[in-house]
Amino acid sequence: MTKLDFAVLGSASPVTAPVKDPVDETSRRPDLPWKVIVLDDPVNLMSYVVYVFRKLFGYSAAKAHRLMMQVHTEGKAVVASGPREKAEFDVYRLHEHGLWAVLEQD
Amino acid sequence: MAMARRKFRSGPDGITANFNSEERSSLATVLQHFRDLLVEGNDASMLRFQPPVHIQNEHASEEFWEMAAVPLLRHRLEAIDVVEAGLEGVALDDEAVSAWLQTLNSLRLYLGNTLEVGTASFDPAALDDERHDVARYMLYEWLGGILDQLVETAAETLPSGDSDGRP
Repeated sequence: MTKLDFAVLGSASPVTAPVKDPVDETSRRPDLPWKVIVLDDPVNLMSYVVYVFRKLFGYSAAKAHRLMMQVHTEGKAVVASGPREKAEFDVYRLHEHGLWAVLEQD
Repeated sequence: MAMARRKFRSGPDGITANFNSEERSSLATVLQHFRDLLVEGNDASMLRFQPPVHIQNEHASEEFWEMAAVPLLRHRLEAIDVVEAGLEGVALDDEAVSAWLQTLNSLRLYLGNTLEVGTASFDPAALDDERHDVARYMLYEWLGGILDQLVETAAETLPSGDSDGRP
């Protein structure tokens, strides 16, 4: 992982939950952007998800609502993309707000 | 806990929370319980707060949380402190509003996961009162109402933004 702009770095135990097959990092192309994907969660309020998209990414209410509905109906939506460091920071901010965000490289 | 009146009002100094003594007491109790859960970190329902983030790379997810877990825990605990202070009716600035939103949502996430809300088998009418699940579900719903009110109030001050994220 690249260095992130988190306030303090520590060594808390990570959660170990099942994930997809690992990918060889050497096969990654660093020039390709990373996608920030929000996954559907049955608990989060729709109004709250729209608010978070507007607050964090500055999206219009219409775009934030469209993305929220995509998450709700399709199970996920790409809400941002960019260099890995920026994408990981976006994921961190989304988790601050309780949204389940993941990363995937194009 | 009925939702008879609005719990948040906008004013010149920010948003003010408006809870009665019973509601403040209930929220304070729940917040303390949630703080303990966060610090102990061994409740299965807390897994939702640190899920995998690199869907193609388990090792990268572990590295992410090695870096992010402590600052995120500190952030959540500080947000709880802000909510507790705001229960007494002080005006909430933007940072405090964010703390309230995040904390109320986290409480719902915790309760929703313990009750398995959203699973195919979830049935509010079949909740086990022996485990206080009925009371917890009522709290979950009440928190949802509060959160929705605060979102509506806070959204009034957001910039209109555009499709590219430019305010």
